Amino acid sequence: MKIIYVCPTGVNSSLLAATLHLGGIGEPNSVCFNRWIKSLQEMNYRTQAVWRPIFRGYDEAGHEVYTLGVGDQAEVIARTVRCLLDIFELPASILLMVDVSQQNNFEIRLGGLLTRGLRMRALGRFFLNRGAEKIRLDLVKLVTAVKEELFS
Amino acid sequence: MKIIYHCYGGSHSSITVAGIHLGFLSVDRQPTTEELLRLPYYDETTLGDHGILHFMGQDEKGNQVFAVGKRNLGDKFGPIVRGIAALIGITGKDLMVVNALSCVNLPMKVGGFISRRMGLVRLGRPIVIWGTKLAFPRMVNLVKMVKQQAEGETG
Repeated sequence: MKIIYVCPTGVNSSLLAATLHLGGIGEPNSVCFNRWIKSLQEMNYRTQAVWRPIFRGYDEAGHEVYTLGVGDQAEVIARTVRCLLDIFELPASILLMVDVSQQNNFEIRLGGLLTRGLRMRALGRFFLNRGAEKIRLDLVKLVTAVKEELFS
Repeated sequence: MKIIYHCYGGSHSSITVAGIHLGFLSVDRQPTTEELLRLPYYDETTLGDHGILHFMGQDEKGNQVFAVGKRNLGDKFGPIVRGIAALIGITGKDLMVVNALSCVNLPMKVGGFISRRMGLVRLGRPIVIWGTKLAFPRMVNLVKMVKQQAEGETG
């Protein structure tokens, strides 16, 4: 199965969720967490937004994990994907789209904008860090629920 | 092959272009108001329809034609759908995603907004129909290009 975490840009909360899915990012201020923040910042710095699925790795059960930016239209894309599966007569079980747009908080958006749009890396990193700390627990719950569903 | 025409609401340009593609509208002259209103889904879709691929028919080459509303996704819709399709094994030979929004003019935008978003059909519909007639030659050209490309992919 392919799992696609989607958020407005494909480089913020979806990347955090995919990273969690693929092995966790550790507690805030841990080496692992700081490494994730750095990669998040690098992604924001190098990429405006990603409008195609980006492969992030295989999870422990061999599922392929992707991230994707869908603007603020996750529901519209979800409907289109359901129709695509239907008209090509593909089983719904080959693909799982998980919308993590709701987890993108103000700090994450601001941090991403500062880094991406204004190239203010230090300030951007500060807000990304704060935002990621705030949404981390919610995302852990969401990703845990996704994995429970997948592995049950 | 499946051909998907997309525009903002899946109600005007994508439906008209699909209608041209399928021969519901003659390419030699401007369509009449009645002909446009006879097109399935023309000026009828609602917010809940956005994202749903509406089957419009099958063309002379056996390609299935669909229309869909993508809201404000603009040029992003094509890469997103093609990217997801590629993940599940659907290639460029099986699927063509075409942006019909490039044919839309100001009267279509204004009339479409008044009719679909504000719900003032009696006011918005004549404006969007007028705009569709004005944009018709551009739509015919788009369909010609799509048919050529589709033939290249399948032939």
